[in-house]
Amino acid sequence: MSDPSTAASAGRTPNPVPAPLLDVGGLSTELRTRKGVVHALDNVGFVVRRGEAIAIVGESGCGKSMTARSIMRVLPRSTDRVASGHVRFAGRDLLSLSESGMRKVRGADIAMIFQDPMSYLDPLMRVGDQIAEVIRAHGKASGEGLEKAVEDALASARISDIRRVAGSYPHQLSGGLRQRALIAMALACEPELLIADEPTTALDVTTQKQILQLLRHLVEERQMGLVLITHDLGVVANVCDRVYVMYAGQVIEHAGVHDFFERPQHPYSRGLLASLKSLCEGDAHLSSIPGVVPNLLAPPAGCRFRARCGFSMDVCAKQDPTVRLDHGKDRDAGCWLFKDGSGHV
Amino acid sequence: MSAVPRIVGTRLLQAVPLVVATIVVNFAIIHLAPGDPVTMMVGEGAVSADQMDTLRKSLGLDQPLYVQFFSYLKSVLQGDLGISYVYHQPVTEIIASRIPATLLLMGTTYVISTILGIVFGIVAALRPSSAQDRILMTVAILGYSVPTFWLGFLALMVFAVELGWAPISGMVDSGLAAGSWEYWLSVLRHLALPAAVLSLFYTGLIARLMRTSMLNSLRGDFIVTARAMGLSRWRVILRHAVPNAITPIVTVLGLQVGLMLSGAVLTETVFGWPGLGVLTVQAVAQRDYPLLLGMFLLTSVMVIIANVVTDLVYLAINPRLRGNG
Repeated sequence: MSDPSTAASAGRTPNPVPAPLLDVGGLSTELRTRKGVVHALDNVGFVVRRGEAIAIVGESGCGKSMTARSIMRVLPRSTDRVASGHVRFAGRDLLSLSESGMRKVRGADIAMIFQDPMSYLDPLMRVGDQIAEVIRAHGKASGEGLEKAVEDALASARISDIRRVAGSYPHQLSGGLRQRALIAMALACEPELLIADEPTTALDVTTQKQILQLLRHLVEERQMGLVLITHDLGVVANVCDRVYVMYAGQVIEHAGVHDFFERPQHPYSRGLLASLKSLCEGDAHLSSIPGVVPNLLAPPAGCRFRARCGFSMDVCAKQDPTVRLDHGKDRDAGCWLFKDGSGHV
Repeated sequence: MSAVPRIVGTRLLQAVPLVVATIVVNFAIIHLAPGDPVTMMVGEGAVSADQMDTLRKSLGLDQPLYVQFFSYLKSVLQGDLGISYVYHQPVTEIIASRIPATLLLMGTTYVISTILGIVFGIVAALRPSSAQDRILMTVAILGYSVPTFWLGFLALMVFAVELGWAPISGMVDSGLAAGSWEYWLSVLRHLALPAAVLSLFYTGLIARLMRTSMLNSLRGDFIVTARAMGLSRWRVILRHAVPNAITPIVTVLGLQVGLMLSGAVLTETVFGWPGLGVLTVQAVAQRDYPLLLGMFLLTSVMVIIANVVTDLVYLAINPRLRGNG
């Protein structure tokens, strides 16, 4: 065991940083299913600053979307709950807010956009009316100002054909326009933080690029915080400042985007990047990580990646390395390779 | 610009051959069925074979079937459904005289069961597996699985015979001036039981469908968006979940209209309600071909009209069907 004080002292960063816009820590979410309680999130933490885009990456089912929905407190079922942790947004803990207090935050202070803009828009309602509904719900505009506010929102999502889009039903628009419409709805009340859950997965490559440029532009121009949830590392490299890697409901590594792509630490992150590289370089043999993700009904003790890891040691079976992941550091990995003197850090 | 006029036109045109086909099939079914109207009219063995032949000839029943069919088709297209063998009155008049009774009973049932069915379905779906869900759905299943005639008899036994709260049969007490307050009050008292029994059946049916549809709708991704955008719980439910849940139900509601307008045969019989259902039963029993054909035609045409109207309503409430106008 290492000296308990080392992590704390090493965590101090020399230059003062502004208080984060969003500070999530110790977030654990439980889903009640017929088979038992699924521990979808375990001790998840990250920070987002104003004017910064962070990425949460990981494979399907690792808890990326559940993280977003836990922050927004819009979990799929009424029996699902955030068991512990804190979600501090601009100094307030969102988890302690009443439901009506939280409702005022959603869509106004923190907005969210989703993967498939077709199914995430109401098919029976005109796009303009859906945007107007959000603006009215937050009392940002009403009466004659409403139409103008809707047009402004559509314009801020860089939609040129504003009148037509506002008067259209979702099925009448292209995938890219639908995503822009959803972004317009999210931007309508000028939120300080935008959570984008796989916003470009359903789009073609050209449209994807335009949407990502738009998101990056919003971060810089409005000094908005952006949480980009994705499994696409290419998207991360283009848009984000920092990266959080999730695996089986835990954050296992965080780093600046440059450090992450240059020197990933956690064996899982290395595996992810290796598979991306083999894909880019057109290797005949596609590199992949062997094994499967553990069952979150009964997560294994110790490191959750252990069974798939080539560097597994005795300690990995006994103690969970992510407990010691330090969010104060510029970068850190929840892996014993970097905690016990055997790694680089 | 819009595909709507074309869709409407197509649906209306498609209805025409459907009506003609219905006339052919109805005619064929009745004439292939066993039983002889002349025998039914005069009673067995009461008259000589000669007299029966004369009668048959006067009704045109001695003609080959195809001749009978074309003369029938010709008169139908002229709005003439023939003369009832039993009542010796034009079929159209007989049917028309029964329509108000059926319209009253079925209209009441339709309004009650649509409203209650939709409300109960929503309430049950908001808390699946809760006590409110289980109670409502148990009643709903009982409502549409218990035969209405049995429930009708039970209701008559309890409320009419034992308690004496409701009349046993008919639509209005005799001797009241039509249109007076007393008249309508009496109609209301006669209406209560049959309408309640029928409503239980249709409410159960609609509530089950609505619950399923509402659960689907509440699971929709657009509900997540509405919640994540900070809309209130009731706004999410009423403005987004409910409209999306009702849309598929409209098809069922529309088809029910057509079937209901032909009358509820069993319930009308049990309660002695002087509507189209009772008329149909009598026409079958007496082999009153023209009347029976008229009833079949009315039912079929009602279903076809209801179908077309349903399609048009669906077109109005579901923008996805209107194309990229």
